[in-house]
Amino acid sequence: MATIINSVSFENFYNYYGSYDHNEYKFKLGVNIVNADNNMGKSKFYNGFMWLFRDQVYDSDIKAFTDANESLVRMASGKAKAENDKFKVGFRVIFSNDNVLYSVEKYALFKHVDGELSHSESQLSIMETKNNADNPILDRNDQQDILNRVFIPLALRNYALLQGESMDRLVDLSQKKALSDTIDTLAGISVLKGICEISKKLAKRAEDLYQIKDSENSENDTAKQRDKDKRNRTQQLIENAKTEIEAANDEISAAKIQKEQLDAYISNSSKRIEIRSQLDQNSISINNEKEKIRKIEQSITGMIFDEENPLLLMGLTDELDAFDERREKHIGELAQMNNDNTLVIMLPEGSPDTSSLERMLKNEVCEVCGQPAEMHSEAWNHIKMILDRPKKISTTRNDFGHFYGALQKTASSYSRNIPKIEGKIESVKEQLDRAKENLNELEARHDDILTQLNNAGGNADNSEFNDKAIISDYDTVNTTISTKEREISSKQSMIVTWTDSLSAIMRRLASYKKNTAIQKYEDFAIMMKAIDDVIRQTKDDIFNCTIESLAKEANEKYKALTKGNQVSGGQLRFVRDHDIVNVSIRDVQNGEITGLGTGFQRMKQLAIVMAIISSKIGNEKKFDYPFISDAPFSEFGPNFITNFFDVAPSVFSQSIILIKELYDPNADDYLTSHGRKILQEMKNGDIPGTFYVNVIDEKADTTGLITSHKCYKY
Amino acid sequence: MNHQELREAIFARKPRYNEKFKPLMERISTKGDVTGKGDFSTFGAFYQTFMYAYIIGLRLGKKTPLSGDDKKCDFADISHWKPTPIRDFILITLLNRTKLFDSFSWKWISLENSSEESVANFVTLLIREMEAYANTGLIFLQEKWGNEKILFSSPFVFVDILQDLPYKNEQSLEIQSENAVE
Amino acid sequence: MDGKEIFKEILKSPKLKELVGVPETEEIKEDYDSQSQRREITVIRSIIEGQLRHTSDDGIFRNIKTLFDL
Repeated sequence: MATIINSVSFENFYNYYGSYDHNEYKFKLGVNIVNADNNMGKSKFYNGFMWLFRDQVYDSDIKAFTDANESLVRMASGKAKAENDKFKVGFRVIFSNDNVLYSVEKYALFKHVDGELSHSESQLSIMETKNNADNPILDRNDQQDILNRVFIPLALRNYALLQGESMDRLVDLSQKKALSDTIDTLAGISVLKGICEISKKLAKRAEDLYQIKDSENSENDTAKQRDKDKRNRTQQLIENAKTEIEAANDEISAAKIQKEQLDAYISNSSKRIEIRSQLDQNSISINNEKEKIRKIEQSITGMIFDEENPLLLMGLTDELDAFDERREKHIGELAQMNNDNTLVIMLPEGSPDTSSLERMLKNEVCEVCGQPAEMHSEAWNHIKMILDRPKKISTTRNDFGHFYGALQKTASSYSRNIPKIEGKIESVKEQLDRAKENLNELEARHDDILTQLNNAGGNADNSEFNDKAIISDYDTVNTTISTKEREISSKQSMIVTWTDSLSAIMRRLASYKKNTAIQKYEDFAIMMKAIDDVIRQTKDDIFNCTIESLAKEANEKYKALTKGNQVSGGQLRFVRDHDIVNVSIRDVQNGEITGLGTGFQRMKQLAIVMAIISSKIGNEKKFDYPFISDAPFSEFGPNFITNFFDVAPSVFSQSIILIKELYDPNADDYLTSHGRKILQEMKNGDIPGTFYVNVIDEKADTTGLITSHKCYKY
Repeated sequence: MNHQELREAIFARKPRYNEKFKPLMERISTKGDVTGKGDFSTFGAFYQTFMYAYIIGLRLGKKTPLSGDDKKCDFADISHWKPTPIRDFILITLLNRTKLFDSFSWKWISLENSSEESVANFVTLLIREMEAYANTGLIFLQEKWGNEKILFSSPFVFVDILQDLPYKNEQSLEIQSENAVE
Repeated sequence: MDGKEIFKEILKSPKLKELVGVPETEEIKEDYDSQSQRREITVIRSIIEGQLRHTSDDGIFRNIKTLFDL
């Protein structure tokens, strides 16, 4: 008979402003994820169920549950209170069970009267739809029946509703007999336990009856009577001592559990210090590598104008060769010029050249002054004279050879160095690539170290526990354990002494002449005792069998939940200690593993819960009721989260998980890369279910804070 | 004129560039990365950017002379350019190409017998050639900056630009001995 | 577990087998719904029935005593 939640809606409930239609989450079989940051309606979501089932809401400020009816004003949406005259605050769940559809609504009506806000008490409304016919359920008893028997049965509710901080309470192994009670329930032993109780009483009564009869029928038997009295007293002493030992054992168990929790914090702190120092080293290395990369990158442009190997001149060796040749040629020409005495005839500056002069004579005009120069005039003759003048030999000679030579000299080393340039560029690129690779490795290592830190109880500075308190508590707990152990030991040796003396008394009593009339009473008492032993033994056997099954199941879940972690989570060992079942985490050699982070402690609890839920003992099928959980992950790393989503579908038909660890407020889609991965797996069909992300519409002050949501997968 | 004087004449010159490239010059010269992050080291002085642009023009084998209409800016004179071997190399490349100077074809040997004024003329033409190649380079860089700004986010941007250029400078290079033509 | 199942479990007890003289490798063949010849079995049944029917301790004790003629 399975219950599936079809949808959950809110109306003006905390951050969820607006109508049910506006704040509706539609769910399916499988894992339904609501991904939201703190203060974005995550715990509020869960509070809807708390209000419905328990008339309570969880106040995360004081970390405790409060009466919902006293908290209604705080539960109402700030925006509605500010803006609406009349409004409803409500939580609605629509679920189906056995082909019947139910719509369950818990609500309160608010209105402003003369400027004051008043409200009704919480009310419950249930509508049942069967074969398309709507049927309102008005009778209170019928309503409670639907909530407590149909929706999520009362007996299972503790397992169906899991709120992060209260998970401890659920599997609070420090509570006396908590787990053993659960095992009793699982094994359906409660009836058998009742039988044990009765049988014990009957055995005692039979014994008492025998004693009475025996006393009645004994004559002049002061010796016997004295022995009987002694026997009774001794038995009483032994009984008392046993009770005291049991009480001391209880205290030791409680102390051991507390010690285990403290161990996790104390020994982890030195581990955390070590991991933190690794983290620091790694950060320094990362910064150094980044600096190295920066320097290389900065130097590249400078290399273009490096004096010895300028990248600017890559491939230009031909220029030097050409220049060299020209210089050679030039030297040759110069030499030739000197040898031949060939002089280049030059006219003085500003003088017209030969062809100009000839032209002037022909045209009979002086081009210099513009005046006419008639043939054979004075001007004309002057021009002719210049033309006929013997050419002057210019003695102006420049001397530039050295200039070219000096240039050649300064640039000469480049003929060797330019060819090396390509190689130099390659090597810089390689250097840079190598440094970038190193950086990637260091950064990956950084993530690993952070995970380790997380596992060791984490990023937290564990403000809940300060070191002094831990140490003092730790001392107290250790003292308690040793004191009680000593006590038990001394009491046990006293019991031995008394038992010995009791045996002697019993032997004496047995030797006294027996009255046959009394024999049947004695036989009766003996048989009742034997039967009592049998029944008790049977109960123990069943109990132990159940523990074994549970341990196996829990270990499977534990392994699945902790797989992939760098630190091995070990395995769970269930040990029965009288009426208490202790669960410890052991390594492969069965040595106790202490100092595992609180993540592993939570994982242990979660594994036990899941094992209980999926246990096949007592013919329980897969948990056929919705599993609704708020933030069970606050201590876990991404590995745990992935494992949880792997394991959950096989344990719960439908789970609704409220989680913040997949939320990234800075991402466009508000998801961490891990969140995206899980979403993708959902879209691929690897994880069945739905995926919602809560977002804040307005970043106003807190009174205006409104949560709405996006559906990424339905 | 002796070699010292020729040297001084050349080194006293201040090549010019088109004013429209001034923002580009400023970006590359003072902040290596033109996307403005200033992560990579810079060319430092304007003349280095100018030398870089010159080499680009040389490699492309293309001259784009500054026109009379262009507004021009100048910067430090050649004597201040560093590193000196690179500067000298650039002069070498210019001297390799004297035969192709605008409208004149200079042979080194003619220079030996030129007057002071002619030598000054020659130096001017030399500088103009330099400006023309550099102008090509600046146009090229401006285009890169305008259309492919993403390139400038890599520290290898200036190296990559060089590596991707063709070697058309070879075409303007003469290594054979020819008969002189006056 | 109901009464019958508890009864069955108890019958598996080695101690009980010893009491009624059945070898450990064999089963005690008794039926919850029928009368037994063995006193021990009848007592056990009475206790189980007593618990299921919420009979008082006195009541159960009285019933058992009659089996022993007491």
